[in-house]
Amino acid sequence: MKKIIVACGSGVATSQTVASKIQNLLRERNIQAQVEAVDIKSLDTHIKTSAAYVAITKPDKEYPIPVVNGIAFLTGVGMEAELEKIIRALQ
Amino acid sequence: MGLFNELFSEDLVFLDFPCRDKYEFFEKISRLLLEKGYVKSSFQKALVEREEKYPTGLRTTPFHVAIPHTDPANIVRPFIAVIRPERAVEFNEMGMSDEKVEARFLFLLGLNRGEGQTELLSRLIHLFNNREAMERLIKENDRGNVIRLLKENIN
Repeated sequence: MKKIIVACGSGVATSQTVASKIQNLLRERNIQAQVEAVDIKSLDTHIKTSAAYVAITKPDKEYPIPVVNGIAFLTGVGMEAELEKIIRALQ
Repeated sequence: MGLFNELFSEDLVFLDFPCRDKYEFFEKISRLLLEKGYVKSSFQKALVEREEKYPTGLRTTPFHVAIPHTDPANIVRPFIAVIRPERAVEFNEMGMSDEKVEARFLFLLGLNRGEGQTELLSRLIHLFNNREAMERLIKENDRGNVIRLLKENIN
């Protein structure tokens, strides 16, 4: 199963909230994927094995995988478009 | 039900809270929370630092909000404080942009990774997408009603 990672600044809850939201949205569309909230410090390790990175903080460099705007899943604004990016990355 | 009542309380709802800017907001609210035994004295500084590094303004509709929070090490007792400032407070927008938002509601998250907190936070975030509830929230002038409204929609 392909993996999507979500990372935020302090790991109190925003990344888990977004990860959970994405998981539910994918499930509604019958799409299988592992959506994981990770510590931003261990981001580079996880990037290697992930299909997409859902960012809640500004990425400070380029990544070899698609970077998706995680804020959209908090505000609901532009959420569909970002979800489409995730779905494409999972194909 | 239990967790909602544990984290939210009328005692931590502040309407028409006077503050010039987010720094004054952090100062005043930290003092209040320290006095009430919710946070450690390190809280204010941690809040300011985290906000600088990872801002928490959200461009929600029909009005913007902010969800400032910091490391659980600064929390004595978990809570979610609800503040409607007298005037909108400028916060930097979370994530990708360099934009600013004018937050008309502030949800100060005093979370410590306790059980169920993520789910509750998810439902709070979901509330931000509920235009009708948000429109009711901004008009509320009674703290008890604010709690009731939140409970209705989040619990």
